[in-house]
Amino acid sequence: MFKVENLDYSYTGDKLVLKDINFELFERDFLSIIGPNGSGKTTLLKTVSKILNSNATITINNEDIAQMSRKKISENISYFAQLKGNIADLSVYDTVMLGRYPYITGFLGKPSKKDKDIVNSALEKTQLEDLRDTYTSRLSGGQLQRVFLAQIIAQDTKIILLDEPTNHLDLKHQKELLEYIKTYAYKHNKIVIGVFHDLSIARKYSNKILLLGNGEISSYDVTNRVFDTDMINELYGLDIKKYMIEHYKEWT
Amino acid sequence: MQKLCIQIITTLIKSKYLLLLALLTIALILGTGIGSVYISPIKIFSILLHKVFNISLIDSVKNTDVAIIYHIRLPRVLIAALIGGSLAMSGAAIQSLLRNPLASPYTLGVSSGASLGVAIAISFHLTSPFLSNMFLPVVGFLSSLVTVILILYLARKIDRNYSTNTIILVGIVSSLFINGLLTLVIALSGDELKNIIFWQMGSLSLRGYDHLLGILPFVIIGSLGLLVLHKELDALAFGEESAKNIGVNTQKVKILVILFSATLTGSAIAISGIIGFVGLVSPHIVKRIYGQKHLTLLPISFLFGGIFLILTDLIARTIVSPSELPVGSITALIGAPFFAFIFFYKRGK
Amino acid sequence: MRKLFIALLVLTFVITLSGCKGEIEVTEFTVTDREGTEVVIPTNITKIVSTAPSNTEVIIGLGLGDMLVAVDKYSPTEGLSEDIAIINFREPDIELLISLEPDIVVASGHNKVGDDDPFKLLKEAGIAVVYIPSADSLQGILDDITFIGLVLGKVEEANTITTDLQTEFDEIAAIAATITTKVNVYFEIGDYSGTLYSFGTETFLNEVVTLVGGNNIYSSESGWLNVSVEDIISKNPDVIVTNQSNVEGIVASIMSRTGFDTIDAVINNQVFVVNGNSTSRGSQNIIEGIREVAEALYPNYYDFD
Repeated sequence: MFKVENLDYSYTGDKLVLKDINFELFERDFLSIIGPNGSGKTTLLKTVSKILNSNATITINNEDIAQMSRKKISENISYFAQLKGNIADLSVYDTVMLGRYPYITGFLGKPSKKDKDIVNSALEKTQLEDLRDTYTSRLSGGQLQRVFLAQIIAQDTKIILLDEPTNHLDLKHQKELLEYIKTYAYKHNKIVIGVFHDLSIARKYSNKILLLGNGEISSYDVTNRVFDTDMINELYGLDIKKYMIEHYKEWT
Repeated sequence: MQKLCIQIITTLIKSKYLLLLALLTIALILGTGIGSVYISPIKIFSILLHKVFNISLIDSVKNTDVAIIYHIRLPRVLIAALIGGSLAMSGAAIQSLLRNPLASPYTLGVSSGASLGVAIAISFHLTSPFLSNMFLPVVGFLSSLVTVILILYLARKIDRNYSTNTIILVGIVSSLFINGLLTLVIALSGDELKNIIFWQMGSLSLRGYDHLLGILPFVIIGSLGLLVLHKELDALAFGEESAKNIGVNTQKVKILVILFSATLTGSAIAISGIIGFVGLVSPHIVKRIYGQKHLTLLPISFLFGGIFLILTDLIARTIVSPSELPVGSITALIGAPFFAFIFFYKRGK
Repeated sequence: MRKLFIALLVLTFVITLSGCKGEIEVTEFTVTDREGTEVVIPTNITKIVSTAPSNTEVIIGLGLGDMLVAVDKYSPTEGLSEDIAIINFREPDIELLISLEPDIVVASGHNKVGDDDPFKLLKEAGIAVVYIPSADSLQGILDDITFIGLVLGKVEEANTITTDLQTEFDEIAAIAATITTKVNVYFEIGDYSGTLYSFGTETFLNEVVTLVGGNNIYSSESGWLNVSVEDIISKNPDVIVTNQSNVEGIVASIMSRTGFDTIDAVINNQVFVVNGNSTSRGSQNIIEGIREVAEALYPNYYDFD
């Protein structure tokens, strides 16, 4: 059970970019955070994962993450980011092994047998066994996202945060990635929180929606109900439903 | 501790280490054998046996050979290996930390700080009877460390998270400021101008075992410190947020990496003066061949930098014999084209 | 020989008719200076600027010390006017020099940075500037003294100095000719953070070493050169001489250099320091430097007291 209470955040100290955010999620929940540009979606994700510090009370199974070390937080929350240029050049295996960082102890940080088994199984699940010794600089965008997915699987956290993970991916890879995540999360009783620009993705994969407008919760409910409100049309300045139907008409 | 030893040994057994260790041995033999007089490996071996195990010398070895090998070339070559290694290893760490291929500890003001400290000590004729000829190295080391700590402090005032851009910017601005002070000191120094300029050009001439022993503890502390942080450096190379997300205490790690790197570079240039390019080129070349995993990258860079500096110093002291060229100029003259060649030559895999 | 030299130097006397009574008076004449530039020199000189210690010493030696109005900061100033202006060795203050209204500037090749003439503006202001490059031989020093005597109107005095010097050189050479076993000498002129400097041929110091009967270990090289430590060790000099007399404890520091303990000079305690000024300046005082070097190399042959 994951609970966020009284979350305010400001970059500069005066103007709040997030105001009074509260929500609670349970195992197998898939929450999509949506909202127009500048509504604070990614900021919310970063405050939830403590990349950015806020005074919110965030608890995982009633344990306050403010009391946790960085490693301990990362045993509970993992973060799947969108692809950005300029990444390090490690082998696929070593990159996935970084997901085990929170669990590895000792002077030189040598992975245990268990860590190796988990990484191998993550590579297997994401069909990366053949690429395990390939350097990340030689991978395509789709392959790279699979590597980071394997890293998330290896990190094995209760809560998985997704920050537009399908950006820069073609449709086939989008579909494969999201379906995999959804099935995986459901099967392993995870909680997923994703930020999505593409409302059709949010609608298709999540069971709950948090609609942000100017840093505040405009609507927080099960998926279908949020899309039926007028609030969403108001915020986006567009009749979403009408647009979607017209938009995809040609395909039918 | 036992586990650590086993791990070090098993890692060493992998072939890339053997390759580089073989190259290092060849460089050491060349470096000690060749000079204004050639001394054969057999004689070198005999001299070493004589000095270490007190076995009598073979007949053809002259007294001056012993002095040249044991007192001049051997410490010089070993110092070159340590300094080249330190510069390369700290360069690798800083490049990953700042995610900037052009960064080096020099970016963080290590070289300008050391230069200013040494220039002040020379111009004001400061000496210490206790430290004798280790005085300038100690001054250089301390002033480089003070500069880095000052830069970290300033960076923190601006940005509590020590973001890489802040560090680079504060580092460069501070270096420029310190260089201004340095120019001022040099301009006012008069007679001591030559001493300061020659120190800055970088040289390994007249460096003996006292220098070697002086630098050794810092090299050990700095390189072990960085090696322990290899996982964190791997993570940081993917970006700061991504490192945080897998559980790295990035703020602490950044400060530690910068301090260990400054220890390595600061103690190295305190002995040799400013030697450029080794710290920049070596990690790039090693990364091209062996990738960026720091458990490999750091020690291999150390070996590579050591070999590189032994060979460039060999060139610097033999090409216009009996005169010597400043080794810093040779590292740049050889380093730049070598770098370009490797950079455009695709990593075979 | 020297007469011929003077004759060559004075290319033309520009004879100026002055006054209207038919009297002929020489007020200026043209010489080719030691760098090869033609310079018009006034005959009536009362104010002199000297920009290098060697030239200053020569000028004082010619008895013209009280005409000096400005010297560089390295020049000796004992016995000179107390309010004499001190100028920078490089980048001299031109405005100050012009305000002193000197008749002539005796400049040194060392004042130049690259090929730029630091006294160009003075020349344009109509002040005579003669350049004396640093001498690369003992004969060059004598010629410099002759030249300075000529332009400052002290030909006779200069002649006396050079003749005396030549006599002393000859006497020393005569003693040197009797020396049967010549020593090998390493002469160190600088140690800059471990970069060591000595010299080969085409330097007056090499001639000094040769004149007194020594054998410079770098006589196969030429000019000023930096030398590597191991090369010095492998050449194993009998005597080490240095003129870094301004560095405290230089002899001890050379003797304790790592690896130097196998050099004969160090083993036999034959490391000497000589006066840095008299051995590095091309003036009549070089004779003192020569004597010091001679006594250091061969105490049994030379005694100048």
